[in-house]
Amino acid sequence: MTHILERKAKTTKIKNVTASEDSTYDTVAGLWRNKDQGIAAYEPGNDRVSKKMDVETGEDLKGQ
Amino acid sequence: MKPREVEVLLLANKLDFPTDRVCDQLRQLGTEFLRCNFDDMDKFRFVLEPVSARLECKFEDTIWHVGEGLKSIWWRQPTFYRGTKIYNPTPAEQLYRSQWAAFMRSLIVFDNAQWFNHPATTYQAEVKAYQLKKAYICGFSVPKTLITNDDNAQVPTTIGNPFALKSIDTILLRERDSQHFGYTSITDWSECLDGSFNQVPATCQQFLNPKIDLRVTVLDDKLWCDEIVIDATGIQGDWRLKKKDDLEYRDFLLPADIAQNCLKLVKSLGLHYGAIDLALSDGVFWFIEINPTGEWGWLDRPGRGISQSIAKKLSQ
Repeated sequence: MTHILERKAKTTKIKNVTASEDSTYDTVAGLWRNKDQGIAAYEPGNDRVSKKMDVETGEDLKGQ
Repeated sequence: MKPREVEVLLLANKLDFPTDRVCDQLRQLGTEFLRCNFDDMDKFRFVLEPVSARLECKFEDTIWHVGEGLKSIWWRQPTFYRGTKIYNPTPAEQLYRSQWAAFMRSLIVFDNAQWFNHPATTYQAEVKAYQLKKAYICGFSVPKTLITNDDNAQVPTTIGNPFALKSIDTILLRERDSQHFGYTSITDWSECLDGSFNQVPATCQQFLNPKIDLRVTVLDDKLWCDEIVIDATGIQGDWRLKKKDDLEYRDFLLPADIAQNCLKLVKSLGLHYGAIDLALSDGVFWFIEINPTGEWGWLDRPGRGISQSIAKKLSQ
């Protein structure tokens, strides 16, 4: 029999988490840059994007 | 090239956009920093001298020295890995994850630096039962709670029915190309009486309804509070299950005593940073949980200055 915590868990397809194809990671600056060299983290829409990239893992990737 | 003497060390993951914001703010402050990402560690060449607490790090033609000049460390790592990210990891993947995680933990040799937060205190503070106890001591109202695997436990009489069913640690279960994530669910006790309840412990907590969810982001003596609502109304159950576009995050002014409790709790857990979840129900501010490495990027709206404040703290 399946435990209630497992029964009630929400099932989703696993997403392959990647950054936008238009951005590149600047290792020395410690951030992602867009094609125009702007900082991706300040882009509208990214303000609500956490490291989880909308994949629910618990805060701070605890589930990983 | 002359090595850079690191003042702030950031230990994160490559897709952690909030840490991007902190790095940008550190650059604006003129603070020398080094960001290392768990998923990218083999890109660097490291030499750590444990006894003298010195670290040399190279990437292409850039060299960083981490040592006496180090002021603080931004720790954005799980304190341990549940091992569900990779399905059937190869030996090489297992080796990478176990050894780099241990290497990052080894940086606690920098014990003169201020840790935001220290892995040992984070580990302790992540324990939900411990949080509830400490929150109660700090003066918070705490929902009635039982952690049990006993289907004879007096949950309906002591906690109420229905009640909020929660896991005691994050549930993320991997099954081939699917994953199962556990949210708080409003449950009738009869649903637990199918003979499987004893398999694992679960948290049974008083159901607060109606309620308004509050997120309090604490950084030492400073805090930001947001209410999470839909159409200016509180959300029944777990708000994370709602459509993101429907959710509103709005500034909320906490009463002075509750704000003080938040600061006190973070301090009493030995933390500098914490993301606290409260629920306002029937005029009472209930403590729900605290996440020592909780997310804040989604609340760093223009003018709020969370990333600026973090960068300033790290640079002090």
